[in-house]
Amino acid sequence: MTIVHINHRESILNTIAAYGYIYIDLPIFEQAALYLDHAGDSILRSLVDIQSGGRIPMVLRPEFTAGAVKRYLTMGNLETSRWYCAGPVFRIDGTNSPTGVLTNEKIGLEIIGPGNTAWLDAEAIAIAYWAVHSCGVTPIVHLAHVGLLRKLIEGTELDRLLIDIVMTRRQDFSTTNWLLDAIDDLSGGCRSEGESVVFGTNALVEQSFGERTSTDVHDRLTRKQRMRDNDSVLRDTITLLDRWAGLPSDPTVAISTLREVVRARPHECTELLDQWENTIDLLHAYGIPMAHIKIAPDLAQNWNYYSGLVFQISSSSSVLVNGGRYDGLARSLGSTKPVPATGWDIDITEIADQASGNSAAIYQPVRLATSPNVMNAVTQLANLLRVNGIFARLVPELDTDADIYIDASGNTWVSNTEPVIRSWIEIIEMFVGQDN
Amino acid sequence: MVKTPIRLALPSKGALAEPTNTFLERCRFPIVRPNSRQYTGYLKDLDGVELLFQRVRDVAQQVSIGTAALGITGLDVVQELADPKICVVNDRLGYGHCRLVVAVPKSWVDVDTMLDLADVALEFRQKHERSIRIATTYPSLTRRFFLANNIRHFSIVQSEGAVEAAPAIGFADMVVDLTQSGSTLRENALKVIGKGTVLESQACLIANISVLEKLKDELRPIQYLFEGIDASLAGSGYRQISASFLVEDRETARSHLDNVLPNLHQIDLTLSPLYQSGAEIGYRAVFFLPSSHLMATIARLREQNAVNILLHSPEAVFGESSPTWEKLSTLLEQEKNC
Repeated sequence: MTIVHINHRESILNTIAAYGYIYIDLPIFEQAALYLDHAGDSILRSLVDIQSGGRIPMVLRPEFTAGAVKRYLTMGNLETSRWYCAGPVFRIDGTNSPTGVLTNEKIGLEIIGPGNTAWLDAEAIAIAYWAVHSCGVTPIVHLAHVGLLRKLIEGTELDRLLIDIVMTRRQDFSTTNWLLDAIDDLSGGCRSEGESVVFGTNALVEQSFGERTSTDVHDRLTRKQRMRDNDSVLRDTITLLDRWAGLPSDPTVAISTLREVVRARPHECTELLDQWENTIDLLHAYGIPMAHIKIAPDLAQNWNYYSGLVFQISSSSSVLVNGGRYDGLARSLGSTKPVPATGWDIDITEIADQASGNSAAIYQPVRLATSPNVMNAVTQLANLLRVNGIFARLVPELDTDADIYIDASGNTWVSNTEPVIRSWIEIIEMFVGQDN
Repeated sequence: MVKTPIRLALPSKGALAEPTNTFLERCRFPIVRPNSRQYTGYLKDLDGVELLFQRVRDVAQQVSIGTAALGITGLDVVQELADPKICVVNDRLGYGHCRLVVAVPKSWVDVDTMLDLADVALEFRQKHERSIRIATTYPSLTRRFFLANNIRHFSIVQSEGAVEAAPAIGFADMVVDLTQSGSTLRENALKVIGKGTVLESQACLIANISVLEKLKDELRPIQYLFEGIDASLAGSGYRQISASFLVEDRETARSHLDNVLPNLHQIDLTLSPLYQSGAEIGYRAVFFLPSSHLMATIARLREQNAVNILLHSPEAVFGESSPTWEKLSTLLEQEKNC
């Protein structure tokens, strides 16, 4: 990491800490199984295997969330944990990196445990927004709701496999051809009505092995045929996807459009939409201008575990934060009951690129020159600054012959004279407790 | 000073061994192997190249560790190994064709595509409380392919032989295996499913670029070898046709040819007078064509009343440059700049 990266990292960590979050360390090596069942396709294809020599396949962590949920479950904690973590995450990248592994420095934030959904979603998004803002970048929040979309599609009575296909391809909303192709693929064996089931039953007389019984095969054939024959369900789903894809980016107009869509749908859809609307109101209360909040219906995430509100925070040119609600993850990792959770991660390298030349908000410690004759006084001065919330760094024997001065930025203080340093200490003590 | 020969690893046994011998012979570099139990040999008419005979999988390993700078093996092996030290410099040597495919029991008549398989994988999870088991000798390619097809509930049973028998024996539910005609799979009551081709494979030429970079002043024999390979491959894709038009003047012959070859201006063509008993009786055309256009062109020649249509196969076609050598040169340049 360069000093620019470190500055942005510190700036983001300070923002998060100001909200009362606790830092946790998470393992860099994890069991592959932790990610195999939950991660999205692009992440799964880029997991970095470790030749552990043991019986359990191990990987380098591709993200923080699954590790944080595992930690939460082992603690047996019933309260809401507000955590953040930082460090490298790893992906396979055969094209650009000489080692074939891409390492990204990231910071993650996780809120795990019970609480008001809208409130916690808004808190997570607001922290991400102000963390990006602290690096001197103007953030834009993009929102979508995976949970609401899933509930709306389930309401059409589409087959479970097709629902999964829709949810995993939600970046392709601009067209529904892929859905029709999928149905064609699935119903290929059922082209002539009724024939396939008969054909299937006859074929089962042939050699059969394994645990799949003739009943299993017969039931699936019947289901496939039903899937193809049910035109109204398909039409309903495609209409729904078209309306979703056409949602405007203005949150007020989008929510109003969705009100019409959910009217004829299960009551749970209305509840989810209410939560979404509450979250947007709370973001405004957190000081985020409405012009910086956009609805992004085609917001795609690389993780399958998202179950509710999902979001990205971007600069004018690139995505800096990915996050969302993942209420089902704890259960799939062995919890007996669902644990509400939300979180995000931010790429330090990406944000440093975006903020280059914009150093106004960058963390800069005060540099204090030390030499043996003033060591004691400078140490006291540094400590006084730190306990009053100012970062201070001792620089050994920096320019010790220099005159007494504080540079124009106030970031470098130099003096060889103990009385001068003592006077600085007295001045600071006079101001302790005052705003400036 | 005696130059170090550059080592080329070749398959010693298996489906690629004999076709590799034939291939190099066709490229005019026949293999000389003093006896079949010896692991080294050389190429007749090409000094500076030493041959190292290994099993197909070991060819890639030897190139990876640098024992051999070059190798000929199957693309399936190289893709499975996914070793950044191995660069494929020619992935179409034109023999050893096979497919790595997903095959399920024939009794699964409800499973026709990878989408079906995704559903069945979920069914296994729900009904049998376990993942679907796939027997294969290609665990990495299989894993990548299944994940790319949105199937995540599966476990791989790595097997080194008789993969196709795994479902019948009972240690797997299905297989991912190599096939040429599909007959072995069929004999084991398995069927290939739609969109279930993991990889189309054939013999390929691989290189360890960092090893070759160190030998960059001694690569002339490799350039000759690659030129020979490319010329032979190009030759197998072309046919030379000659045909006679019994017409009075050259312009009429040209107009017949225009009807036969719509892109006549792009083809190298010889059109010369044809004599019989000292008298000019017409014109004879000689030109090259891609093999795939052959039968359609012959049909059109007949329509234009062409006679004495003869067909020849060129042994080799030397182009302006050798694409394989060009690719290697580019990779060497990149390695130098790294």
